[in-house]
Amino acid sequence: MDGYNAYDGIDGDEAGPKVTIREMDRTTIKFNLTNTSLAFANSIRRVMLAEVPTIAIDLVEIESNTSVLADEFLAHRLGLIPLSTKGIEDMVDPRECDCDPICDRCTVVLRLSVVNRSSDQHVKVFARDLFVESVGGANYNRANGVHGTSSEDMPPLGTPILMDRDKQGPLICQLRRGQELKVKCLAKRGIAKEHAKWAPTAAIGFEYDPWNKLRHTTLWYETDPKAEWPEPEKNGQWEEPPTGDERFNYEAEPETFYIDLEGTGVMPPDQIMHSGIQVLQNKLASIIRDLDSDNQGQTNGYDGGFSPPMNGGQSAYGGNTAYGAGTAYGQDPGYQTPGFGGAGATSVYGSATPYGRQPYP
Amino acid sequence: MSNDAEMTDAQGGAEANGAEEFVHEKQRLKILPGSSDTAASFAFEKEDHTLGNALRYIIMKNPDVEFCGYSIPHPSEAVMNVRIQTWDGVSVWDVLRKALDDLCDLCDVVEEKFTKARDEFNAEHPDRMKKKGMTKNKLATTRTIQQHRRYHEQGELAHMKFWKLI
Repeated sequence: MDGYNAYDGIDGDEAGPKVTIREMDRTTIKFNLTNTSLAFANSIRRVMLAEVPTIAIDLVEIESNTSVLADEFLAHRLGLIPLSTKGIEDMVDPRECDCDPICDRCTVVLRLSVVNRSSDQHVKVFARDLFVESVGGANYNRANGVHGTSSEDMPPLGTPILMDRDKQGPLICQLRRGQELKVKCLAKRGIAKEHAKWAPTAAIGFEYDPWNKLRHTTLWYETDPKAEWPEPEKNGQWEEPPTGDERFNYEAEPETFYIDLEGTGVMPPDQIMHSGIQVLQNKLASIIRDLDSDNQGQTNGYDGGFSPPMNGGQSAYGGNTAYGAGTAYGQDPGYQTPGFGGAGATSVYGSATPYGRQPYP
Repeated sequence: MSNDAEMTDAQGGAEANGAEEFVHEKQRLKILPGSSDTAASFAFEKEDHTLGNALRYIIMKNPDVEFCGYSIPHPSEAVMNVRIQTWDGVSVWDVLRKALDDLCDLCDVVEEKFTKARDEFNAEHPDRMKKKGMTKNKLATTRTIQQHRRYHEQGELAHMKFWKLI
Protein backbone atom coordinates (compact mmCIF):
# COMPACT_ATOMS: atom_id res chain seq x y z
CA MET A 1 0.00 0.00 0.00
CA ASP A 2 2.82 2.39 0.68
CA GLY A 3 5.17 3.63 -1.95
CA TYR A 4 2.49 5.34 -3.96
CA ASN A 5 1.22 8.83 -3.65
CA ALA A 6 -2.26 9.89 -4.47
CA TYR A 7 -1.22 13.08 -6.17
CA ASP A 8 2.14 12.52 -7.74
CA GLY A 9 3.91 14.38 -5.01
CA ILE A 10 7.66 14.43 -5.44
CA ASP A 11 9.24 16.56 -2.78
CA GLY A 12 8.75 19.54 -0.57
CA ASP A 13 6.52 22.50 -1.14
CA GLU A 14 6.60 22.26 -4.90
CA ALA A 15 4.87 18.92 -4.90
CA GLY A 16 1.19 18.42 -5.32
CA PRO A 17 -1.48 20.74 -6.61
CA LYS A 18 -0.81 24.40 -7.35
CA VAL A 19 -3.14 27.33 -7.49
CA THR A 20 -2.45 30.53 -9.42
CA ILE A 21 -4.94 33.33 -9.16
CA ARG A 22 -5.34 35.34 -12.34
CA GLU A 23 -8.08 37.80 -11.44
CA MET A 24 -10.27 38.49 -8.50
CA ASP A 25 -13.03 40.95 -7.75
CA ARG A 26 -16.15 41.17 -5.64
CA THR A 27 -18.02 38.40 -7.40
CA THR A 28 -15.45 36.53 -9.45
CA ILE A 29 -12.22 34.62 -9.10
CA LYS A 30 -10.30 33.33 -12.06
CA PHE A 31 -7.61 30.86 -11.17
CA ASN A 32 -5.53 28.02 -12.53
CA LEU A 33 -5.52 24.72 -10.73
CA THR A 34 -2.44 22.71 -11.70
CA ASN A 35 -1.16 19.21 -10.95
CA THR A 36 -4.53 17.73 -10.16
CA SER A 37 -6.58 15.20 -12.02
CA LEU A 38 -9.57 15.93 -14.18
CA ALA A 39 -11.66 13.81 -11.82
CA PHE A 40 -10.80 15.88 -8.78
CA ALA A 41 -11.07 19.26 -10.50
CA ASN A 42 -14.47 18.25 -11.83
CA SER A 43 -15.59 17.18 -8.37
CA ILE A 44 -14.74 20.62 -7.07
CA ARG A 45 -16.61 22.24 -9.94
CA ARG A 46 -19.70 20.11 -9.39
CA VAL A 47 -19.71 20.62 -5.66
CA MET A 48 -19.44 24.40 -5.99
CA LEU A 49 -22.23 24.46 -8.55
CA ALA A 50 -24.75 22.32 -6.75
CA GLU A 51 -23.92 21.56 -3.14
CA VAL A 52 -22.70 24.68 -1.37
CA PRO A 53 -25.37 25.68 1.15
CA THR A 54 -26.86 29.16 0.83
CA ILE A 55 -30.06 30.84 1.95
CA ALA A 56 -33.14 31.70 -0.12
CA ILE A 57 -36.79 32.45 0.45
CA ASP A 58 -38.55 29.10 0.59
CA LEU A 59 -42.00 29.75 2.03
CA VAL A 60 -44.16 32.80 1.39
CA GLU A 61 -47.22 33.72 3.40
CA ILE A 62 -49.27 36.17 1.41
CA GLU A 63 -51.31 38.41 3.66
CA SER A 64 -52.51 40.65 0.90
CA ASN A 65 -51.79 40.66 -2.80
CA THR A 66 -53.89 42.89 -5.01
CA SER A 67 -51.13 43.36 -7.57
CA VAL A 68 -51.48 42.04 -11.09
CA LEU A 69 -49.15 39.15 -10.36
CA ALA A 70 -50.51 35.83 -9.12
CA ASP A 71 -49.48 34.66 -5.64
CA GLU A 72 -47.43 31.74 -6.83
CA PHE A 73 -45.79 33.89 -9.48
CA LEU A 74 -44.72 36.32 -6.78
CA ALA A 75 -43.54 33.54 -4.51
CA HIS A 76 -41.35 32.21 -7.28
CA ARG A 77 -39.85 35.65 -7.90
CA LEU A 78 -39.20 36.13 -4.21
CA GLY A 79 -37.43 32.79 -4.03
CA LEU A 80 -34.91 33.87 -6.66
CA ILE A 81 -33.82 37.01 -4.80
CA PRO A 82 -30.20 36.68 -3.67
CA LEU A 83 -29.81 36.90 0.10
CA SER A 84 -26.63 37.35 2.08
CA THR A 85 -25.09 34.11 3.31
CA LYS A 86 -22.95 35.64 6.02
CA GLY A 87 -22.76 33.12 8.85
CA ILE A 88 -24.65 30.45 6.88
CA GLU A 89 -22.42 27.77 8.44
CA ASP A 90 -24.13 28.38 11.79
CA MET A 91 -27.59 28.04 10.30
CA VAL A 92 -29.36 24.73 10.81
CA ASP A 93 -30.82 22.83 7.90
CA PRO A 94 -34.62 23.25 8.18
CA ARG A 95 -35.18 19.50 7.83
CA GLU A 96 -32.78 18.76 10.65
CA CYS A 97 -34.03 21.45 13.01
CA ASP A 98 -36.24 20.14 15.77
CA CYS A 99 -38.25 23.30 16.26
CA ASP A 100 -41.99 23.11 15.61
CA PRO A 101 -42.83 25.34 12.72
CA ILE A 102 -39.82 27.66 12.60
CA CYS A 103 -37.12 29.05 14.84
CA ASP A 104 -34.27 31.51 14.68
CA ARG A 105 -31.74 28.78 14.12
CA CYS A 106 -33.23 27.57 10.84
CA THR A 107 -35.28 30.45 9.44
CA VAL A 108 -34.86 34.12 8.62
CA VAL A 109 -38.15 36.02 8.37
CA LEU A 110 -38.38 38.80 5.83
CA ARG A 111 -41.35 41.13 5.48
CA LEU A 112 -42.52 43.10 2.52
CA SER A 113 -45.27 45.66 2.87
CA VAL A 114 -45.92 48.11 0.05
CA VAL A 115 -49.10 50.01 -0.93
CA ASN A 116 -49.78 52.47 -3.70
CA ARG A 117 -52.41 54.66 -2.08
CA SER A 118 -52.70 57.66 -4.34
CA SER A 119 -50.05 57.79 -7.03
CA ASP A 120 -50.91 57.57 -10.70
CA GLN A 121 -47.37 56.45 -11.27
CA HIS A 122 -46.60 52.81 -10.70
CA VAL A 123 -44.88 52.08 -7.43
CA LYS A 124 -41.98 49.77 -8.04
CA VAL A 125 -41.29 47.15 -5.41
CA PHE A 126 -37.63 46.23 -5.17
CA ALA A 127 -35.69 43.66 -3.15
CA ARG A 128 -34.46 46.48 -0.92
CA ASP A 129 -38.03 46.80 0.38
CA LEU A 130 -37.68 43.41 2.06
CA PHE A 131 -36.82 43.79 5.72
CA VAL A 132 -35.28 41.14 7.89
CA GLU A 133 -37.52 40.65 10.89
CA SER A 134 -35.39 38.22 12.80
CA VAL A 135 -31.83 37.18 12.43
CA GLY A 136 -31.04 34.32 14.69
CA GLY A 137 -29.16 36.13 17.37
CA ALA A 138 -25.88 37.98 17.39
CA ASN A 139 -23.88 34.81 17.10
CA TYR A 140 -24.38 34.80 13.33
CA ASN A 141 -22.25 37.88 13.01
CA ARG A 142 -19.27 36.50 14.80
CA ALA A 143 -15.96 36.75 13.01
CA ASN A 144 -14.67 33.51 11.59
CA GLY A 145 -11.00 33.45 10.82
CA VAL A 146 -11.23 30.27 8.78
CA HIS A 147 -13.05 31.64 5.80
CA GLY A 148 -10.96 34.76 5.44
CA THR A 149 -11.78 38.34 5.88
CA SER A 150 -13.69 38.93 2.69
CA SER A 151 -17.00 37.62 4.00
CA GLU A 152 -16.83 40.25 6.74
CA ASP A 153 -17.92 42.83 4.21
CA MET A 154 -21.22 41.05 3.70
CA PRO A 155 -24.49 42.32 5.18
CA PRO A 156 -26.11 40.18 7.90
CA LEU A 157 -27.62 36.79 7.10
CA GLY A 158 -30.74 36.92 4.95
CA THR A 159 -30.43 40.55 3.88
CA PRO A 160 -31.12 41.05 0.16
CA ILE A 161 -27.96 41.61 -1.88
CA LEU A 162 -28.12 44.95 -3.70
CA MET A 163 -25.46 45.10 -6.37
CA ASP A 164 -26.79 47.80 -8.71
CA ARG A 165 -25.74 51.42 -8.60
CA ASP A 166 -28.91 52.66 -6.90
CA LYS A 167 -28.85 49.84 -4.34
CA GLN A 168 -32.38 48.75 -5.21
CA GLY A 169 -31.87 45.11 -5.99
CA PRO A 170 -34.08 43.12 -8.34
CA LEU A 171 -37.54 44.45 -9.21
CA ILE A 172 -40.23 42.26 -7.67
CA CYS A 173 -43.40 43.85 -9.08
CA GLN A 174 -45.15 47.18 -9.77
CA LEU A 175 -48.28 48.47 -8.07
CA ARG A 176 -51.00 50.68 -9.59
CA ARG A 177 -53.09 53.02 -7.50
CA GLY A 178 -54.95 51.09 -4.83
CA GLN A 179 -52.87 47.94 -5.13
CA GLU A 180 -51.16 46.44 -2.14
CA LEU A 181 -48.56 43.82 -1.45
CA LYS A 182 -48.10 42.45 2.05
CA VAL A 183 -46.03 39.34 2.38
CA LYS A 184 -44.16 37.35 5.01
CA CYS A 185 -41.25 35.38 3.64
CA LEU A 186 -39.43 32.52 5.36
CA ALA A 187 -35.88 32.16 4.12
CA LYS A 188 -34.20 28.80 4.67
CA ARG A 189 -30.93 27.14 4.08
CA GLY A 190 -30.63 24.80 1.11
CA ILE A 191 -28.47 23.63 -1.77
CA ALA A 192 -28.75 24.14 -5.52
CA LYS A 193 -29.22 20.42 -6.09
CA GLU A 194 -32.73 20.90 -4.72
CA HIS A 195 -33.50 24.22 -6.38
CA ALA A 196 -31.32 26.55 -8.44
CA LYS A 197 -32.32 29.49 -6.26
CA TRP A 198 -29.82 28.22 -3.72
CA ALA A 199 -26.92 28.35 -6.19
CA PRO A 200 -24.02 30.48 -4.95
CA THR A 201 -22.59 30.64 -8.46
CA ALA A 202 -23.84 32.37 -11.55
CA ALA A 203 -21.49 30.31 -13.69
CA ILE A 204 -18.29 28.34 -13.48
CA GLY A 205 -15.98 28.38 -16.45
CA PHE A 206 -13.97 25.18 -16.61
CA GLU A 207 -11.38 24.67 -19.31
CA TYR A 208 -8.37 22.48 -19.81
CA ASP A 209 -6.02 21.88 -22.70
CA PRO A 210 -6.89 25.10 -24.57
CA TRP A 211 -4.88 24.02 -27.62
CA ASN A 212 -6.65 20.67 -27.80
CA LYS A 213 -3.37 18.79 -27.73
CA LEU A 214 -5.06 15.88 -25.98
CA ARG A 215 -7.68 15.73 -28.73
CA HIS A 216 -10.52 15.41 -26.27
CA THR A 217 -12.60 17.36 -28.73
CA THR A 218 -12.87 17.26 -32.47
CA LEU A 219 -12.90 20.63 -34.17
CA TRP A 220 -15.41 20.86 -36.94
CA TYR A 221 -14.01 22.44 -40.09
CA GLU A 222 -14.67 22.99 -43.75
CA THR A 223 -11.15 22.95 -45.13
CA ASP A 224 -8.65 23.81 -42.38
CA PRO A 225 -9.44 23.84 -38.65
CA LYS A 226 -6.39 26.01 -37.84
CA ALA A 227 -7.55 28.76 -40.15
CA GLU A 228 -11.22 28.57 -39.23
CA TRP A 229 -11.05 28.34 -35.44
CA PRO A 230 -9.95 31.30 -33.31
CA GLU A 231 -6.93 30.95 -31.07
CA PRO A 232 -7.64 30.27 -27.41
CA GLU A 233 -7.17 33.89 -26.43
CA LYS A 234 -7.00 33.84 -22.68
CA ASN A 235 -6.16 30.44 -21.34
CA GLY A 236 -4.08 29.53 -24.38
CA GLN A 237 -1.51 32.05 -23.23
CA TRP A 238 -0.65 29.86 -20.27
CA GLU A 239 0.37 26.88 -22.34
CA GLU A 240 2.70 26.30 -25.21
CA PRO A 241 0.89 26.11 -28.50
CA PRO A 242 1.48 23.03 -30.58
CA THR A 243 4.36 23.30 -33.00
CA GLY A 244 2.52 21.28 -35.55
CA ASP A 245 5.20 18.66 -36.14
CA GLU A 246 5.10 16.97 -32.74
CA ARG A 247 3.68 13.51 -32.36
CA PHE A 248 0.38 12.95 -30.67
CA ASN A 249 1.06 11.98 -27.08
CA TYR A 250 -1.71 9.55 -26.35
CA GLU A 251 -0.51 9.10 -22.78
CA ALA A 252 -0.81 12.75 -21.82
CA GLU A 253 -3.44 13.69 -19.27
CA PRO A 254 -4.97 17.05 -18.48
CA GLU A 255 -3.32 18.66 -15.50
CA THR A 256 -4.00 22.38 -15.66
CA PHE A 257 -7.54 23.62 -15.22
CA TYR A 258 -8.63 27.17 -15.92
CA ILE A 259 -11.49 27.93 -13.60
CA ASP A 260 -13.58 31.11 -13.81
CA LEU A 261 -15.65 31.08 -10.67
CA GLU A 262 -18.42 33.61 -10.96
CA GLY A 263 -20.60 34.14 -7.90
CA THR A 264 -24.03 35.72 -7.65
CA GLY A 265 -22.88 38.11 -4.92
CA VAL A 266 -24.54 36.02 -2.25
CA MET A 267 -21.18 34.74 -1.03
CA PRO A 268 -17.66 35.98 -1.74
CA PRO A 269 -16.13 33.83 -4.48
CA ASP A 270 -13.25 32.61 -2.34
CA GLN A 271 -15.72 31.40 0.23
CA ILE A 272 -17.59 29.47 -2.44
CA MET A 273 -14.37 27.60 -3.09
CA HIS A 274 -13.75 26.98 0.61
CA SER A 275 -17.29 25.84 1.26
CA GLY A 276 -17.17 23.62 -1.79
CA ILE A 277 -14.07 21.84 -0.56
CA GLN A 278 -15.61 21.58 2.87
CA VAL A 279 -18.75 19.96 1.46
CA LEU A 280 -16.62 17.49 -0.45
CA GLN A 281 -14.67 16.65 2.69
CA ASN A 282 -17.87 16.22 4.66
CA LYS A 283 -19.00 13.67 2.11
CA LEU A 284 -15.76 11.76 2.55
CA ALA A 285 -15.91 12.04 6.31
CA SER A 286 -19.42 10.63 6.48
CA ILE A 287 -18.41 7.64 4.40
CA ILE A 288 -15.34 7.07 6.53
CA ARG A 289 -17.65 7.11 9.53
CA ASP A 290 -19.92 4.54 7.91
CA LEU A 291 -16.89 2.46 7.07
CA ASP A 292 -15.74 2.58 10.68
CA SER A 293 -19.10 1.50 11.99
CA ASP A 294 -18.96 -1.36 9.51
CA ASN A 295 -15.59 -2.50 10.68
CA GLN A 296 -16.65 -2.43 14.27
CA GLY A 297 -18.76 -5.43 13.47
CA GLN A 298 -22.16 -3.86 13.26
CA THR A 299 -24.18 -5.78 10.80
CA ASN A 300 -26.34 -3.01 9.49
CA GLY A 301 -24.10 -2.56 6.47
CA TYR A 302 -24.39 -6.13 5.38
CA ASP A 303 -28.04 -6.81 5.14
CA GLY A 304 -27.88 -7.20 1.46
CA GLY A 305 -27.93 -4.12 -0.71
CA PHE A 306 -31.09 -2.21 -1.34
CA SER A 307 -34.25 -2.97 -3.27
CA PRO A 308 -35.21 -5.75 -3.45
CA PRO A 309 -33.67 -6.88 -0.17
CA MET A 310 -32.04 -10.25 0.19
CA ASN A 311 -34.57 -12.72 1.46
CA GLY A 312 -34.76 -13.71 5.05
CA GLY A 313 -31.92 -13.28 7.47
CA GLN A 314 -29.45 -14.52 4.91
CA SER A 315 -26.34 -12.35 4.99
CA ALA A 316 -25.05 -11.01 1.76
CA TYR A 317 -22.04 -13.19 2.13
CA GLY A 318 -23.92 -16.36 2.74
CA GLY A 319 -21.70 -17.12 5.71
CA ASN A 320 -21.85 -16.22 9.32
CA THR A 321 -19.09 -13.63 9.41
CA ALA A 322 -19.08 -10.54 7.31
CA TYR A 323 -16.20 -11.40 5.09
CA GLY A 324 -14.75 -14.42 6.73
CA ALA A 325 -13.66 -17.68 5.30
CA GLY A 326 -17.09 -19.20 5.08
CA THR A 327 -18.51 -16.99 2.39
CA ALA A 328 -20.11 -18.46 -0.64
CA TYR A 329 -17.85 -16.30 -2.69
CA GLY A 330 -14.64 -17.31 -1.01
CA GLN A 331 -13.98 -20.41 -3.05
CA ASP A 332 -13.79 -18.49 -6.27
CA PRO A 333 -11.38 -15.63 -5.78
CA GLY A 334 -10.65 -15.06 -9.43
CA TYR A 335 -14.21 -14.29 -10.27
CA GLN A 336 -14.71 -11.03 -12.12
CA THR A 337 -17.59 -8.60 -12.37
CA PRO A 338 -20.67 -10.26 -10.94
CA GLY A 339 -23.16 -8.28 -12.94
CA PHE A 340 -22.05 -9.62 -16.27
CA GLY A 341 -20.87 -13.06 -15.37
CA GLY A 342 -23.92 -15.06 -16.26
CA ALA A 343 -24.47 -15.51 -19.95
CA GLY A 344 -27.64 -14.12 -21.42
CA ALA A 345 -30.54 -16.12 -20.12
CA THR A 346 -29.64 -16.55 -16.47
CA SER A 347 -30.18 -13.57 -14.25
CA VAL A 348 -27.36 -12.39 -12.08
CA TYR A 349 -29.43 -13.18 -9.04
CA GLY A 350 -30.87 -16.35 -10.46
CA SER A 351 -30.20 -19.89 -9.35
CA ALA A 352 -27.19 -20.29 -11.60
CA THR A 353 -25.09 -17.60 -9.99
CA PRO A 354 -21.80 -18.63 -8.52
CA TYR A 355 -22.34 -16.76 -5.29
CA GLY A 356 -26.00 -16.23 -4.50
CA ARG A 357 -26.86 -19.67 -3.28
CA GLN A 358 -30.09 -18.31 -2.09
CA PRO A 359 -31.74 -16.93 -5.23
CA TYR A 360 -34.21 -14.13 -5.20
CA PRO A 361 -37.79 -15.19 -4.64
CA MET B 1 -34.66 -7.47 29.50
CA SER B 2 -32.66 -5.10 31.60
CA ASN B 3 -30.19 -4.66 28.77
CA ASP B 4 -32.99 -3.70 26.41
CA ALA B 5 -34.25 -1.07 28.79
CA GLU B 6 -30.76 0.35 29.15
CA MET B 7 -30.35 0.68 25.43
CA THR B 8 -33.60 2.58 25.03
CA ASP B 9 -32.51 4.98 27.71
CA ALA B 10 -29.14 5.59 26.14
CA GLN B 11 -30.68 6.37 22.76
CA GLY B 12 -33.14 8.76 24.22
CA GLY B 13 -30.38 10.53 26.10
CA ALA B 14 -28.22 10.81 22.99
CA GLU B 15 -31.03 12.50 21.13
CA ALA B 16 -31.64 14.98 23.89
CA ASN B 17 -27.96 15.85 23.99
CA GLY B 18 -28.18 17.05 20.44
CA ALA B 19 -26.17 14.32 18.78
CA GLU B 20 -28.55 14.59 15.86
CA GLU B 21 -26.05 13.77 13.15
CA PHE B 22 -25.50 10.33 14.54
CA VAL B 23 -29.10 9.63 15.36
CA HIS B 24 -30.63 10.93 12.17
CA GLU B 25 -28.10 9.98 9.57
CA LYS B 26 -28.66 6.59 8.09
CA GLN B 27 -25.95 4.23 7.02
CA ARG B 28 -25.25 5.46 3.50
CA LEU B 29 -22.67 2.86 2.60
CA LYS B 30 -23.75 -0.66 1.81
CA ILE B 31 -21.96 -3.63 0.43
CA LEU B 32 -23.62 -5.53 -2.37
CA PRO B 33 -24.31 -9.25 -2.34
CA GLY B 34 -21.56 -11.46 -3.66
CA SER B 35 -18.70 -9.38 -2.39
CA SER B 36 -15.57 -10.84 -0.89
CA ASP B 37 -12.62 -9.38 0.94
CA THR B 38 -10.67 -8.70 -2.23
CA ALA B 39 -13.45 -8.05 -4.73
CA ALA B 40 -16.41 -6.06 -3.53
CA SER B 41 -19.12 -3.76 -4.78
CA PHE B 42 -20.25 -0.91 -2.59
CA ALA B 43 -23.46 1.06 -2.90
CA PHE B 44 -23.22 4.70 -1.87
CA GLU B 45 -26.59 6.25 -1.22
CA LYS B 46 -27.16 9.87 -2.19
CA GLU B 47 -23.90 10.11 -4.06
CA ASP B 48 -23.24 10.81 -7.72
CA HIS B 49 -20.45 11.61 -10.18
CA THR B 50 -19.15 14.30 -7.84
CA LEU B 51 -17.77 11.70 -5.51
CA GLY B 52 -17.82 8.70 -7.83
CA ASN B 53 -15.34 9.77 -10.44
CA ALA B 54 -12.87 11.32 -8.01
CA LEU B 55 -13.02 8.26 -5.77
CA ARG B 56 -12.61 5.91 -8.70
CA TYR B 57 -9.61 7.88 -9.86
CA ILE B 58 -7.90 7.84 -6.49
CA ILE B 59 -8.59 4.14 -5.95
CA MET B 60 -7.11 3.33 -9.34
CA LYS B 61 -3.94 5.18 -8.30
CA ASN B 62 -3.35 2.46 -5.74
CA PRO B 63 -1.05 -0.21 -7.21
CA ASP B 64 -2.75 -2.88 -5.11
CA VAL B 65 -5.94 -2.36 -7.06
CA GLU B 66 -6.62 -4.62 -10.00
CA PHE B 67 -9.84 -2.93 -11.04
CA CYS B 68 -12.04 -0.09 -9.93
CA GLY B 69 -15.09 1.33 -11.61
CA TYR B 70 -18.20 3.19 -10.66
CA SER B 71 -21.67 3.42 -12.07
CA ILE B 72 -24.99 5.02 -11.41
CA PRO B 73 -27.35 2.14 -12.14
CA HIS B 74 -30.44 4.25 -12.59
CA PRO B 75 -30.70 8.01 -13.08
CA SER B 76 -33.74 8.36 -10.86
CA GLU B 77 -32.25 6.48 -7.94
CA ALA B 78 -29.72 8.43 -5.89
CA VAL B 79 -27.36 5.50 -5.63
CA MET B 80 -23.82 5.14 -6.87
CA ASN B 81 -22.01 1.81 -7.05
CA VAL B 82 -18.27 1.33 -6.79
CA ARG B 83 -16.56 -1.93 -7.66
CA ILE B 84 -13.12 -2.64 -6.26
CA GLN B 85 -10.94 -5.66 -6.99
CA THR B 86 -7.51 -5.97 -5.46
CA TRP B 87 -4.36 -7.97 -6.01
CA ASP B 88 -2.67 -10.29 -3.54
CA GLY B 89 -5.47 -10.50 -1.01
CA VAL B 90 -5.32 -6.84 -0.07
CA SER B 91 -8.52 -5.90 1.70
CA VAL B 92 -10.93 -3.73 -0.26
CA TRP B 93 -11.81 -2.07 3.03
CA ASP B 94 -8.28 -0.84 3.48
CA VAL B 95 -8.18 0.32 -0.13
CA LEU B 96 -11.43 2.22 0.16
CA ARG B 97 -10.42 3.77 3.43
CA LYS B 98 -7.06 4.85 2.13
CA ALA B 99 -8.69 6.36 -0.94
CA LEU B 100 -11.11 8.37 1.19
CA ASP B 101 -8.30 9.59 3.42
CA ASP B 102 -6.16 10.52 0.42
CA LEU B 103 -9.00 12.43 -1.21
CA CYS B 104 -9.54 14.27 2.04
CA ASP B 105 -5.84 15.16 2.18
CA LEU B 106 -5.99 16.28 -1.44
CA CYS B 107 -8.83 18.62 -0.54
CA ASP B 108 -6.77 19.99 2.34
CA VAL B 109 -3.81 20.67 0.10
CA VAL B 110 -5.88 22.42 -2.55
CA GLU B 111 -7.63 24.49 0.07
CA GLU B 112 -4.34 25.48 1.62
CA LYS B 113 -2.80 26.37 -1.73
CA PHE B 114 -5.89 28.30 -2.71
CA THR B 115 -5.89 30.31 0.51
CA LYS B 116 -2.20 31.07 0.09
CA ALA B 117 -2.66 32.17 -3.51
CA ARG B 118 -5.64 34.33 -2.56
CA ASP B 119 -3.77 36.04 0.28
CA GLU B 120 -0.79 36.67 -1.96
CA PHE B 121 -3.05 38.11 -4.62
CA ASN B 122 -4.78 40.33 -2.10
CA ALA B 123 -1.42 41.52 -0.76
CA GLU B 124 -0.35 42.45 -4.25
CA HIS B 125 -3.64 44.16 -5.04
CA PRO B 126 -4.56 46.12 -1.94
CA ASP B 127 -7.22 47.98 -3.87
CA ARG B 128 -8.47 44.73 -5.42
CA MET B 129 -8.30 46.34 -8.80
CA LYS B 130 -9.71 44.44 -11.68
CA LYS B 131 -6.90 43.68 -14.04
CA LYS B 132 -6.70 42.04 -17.38
CA GLY B 133 -4.24 39.33 -16.47
CA MET B 134 -1.28 40.19 -14.31
CA THR B 135 1.75 42.33 -15.01
CA LYS B 136 5.15 40.75 -15.13
CA ASN B 137 6.50 42.30 -11.94
CA LYS B 138 3.60 41.15 -9.90
CA LEU B 139 3.93 37.65 -11.18
CA ALA B 140 7.40 37.02 -9.82
CA THR B 141 6.32 35.56 -6.50
CA THR B 142 6.31 31.81 -6.77
CA ARG B 143 8.11 29.39 -8.92
CA THR B 144 4.82 28.16 -10.27
CA ILE B 145 4.01 31.48 -11.73
CA GLN B 146 7.49 31.93 -13.12
CA GLN B 147 7.23 28.64 -14.83
CA HIS B 148 3.95 29.61 -16.33
CA ARG B 149 5.48 32.80 -17.62
CA ARG B 150 8.30 30.85 -19.14
CA TYR B 151 5.76 28.73 -20.92
CA HIS B 152 4.07 31.86 -21.97
CA GLU B 153 7.17 33.45 -23.50
CA GLN B 154 8.35 30.27 -25.15
CA GLY B 155 4.85 29.68 -26.28
CA GLU B 156 4.58 32.99 -28.02
CA LEU B 157 7.87 32.46 -29.81
CA ALA B 158 6.98 28.97 -30.86
CA HIS B 159 3.63 30.16 -31.91
CA MET B 160 5.01 32.89 -34.11
CA LYS B 161 7.29 30.41 -35.82
CA PHE B 162 4.38 28.11 -36.28
CA TRP B 163 2.33 30.67 -38.10
CA LYS B 164 5.19 31.74 -40.32
CA LEU B 165 5.50 28.18 -41.51
CA ILE B 166 1.98 28.34 -42.77
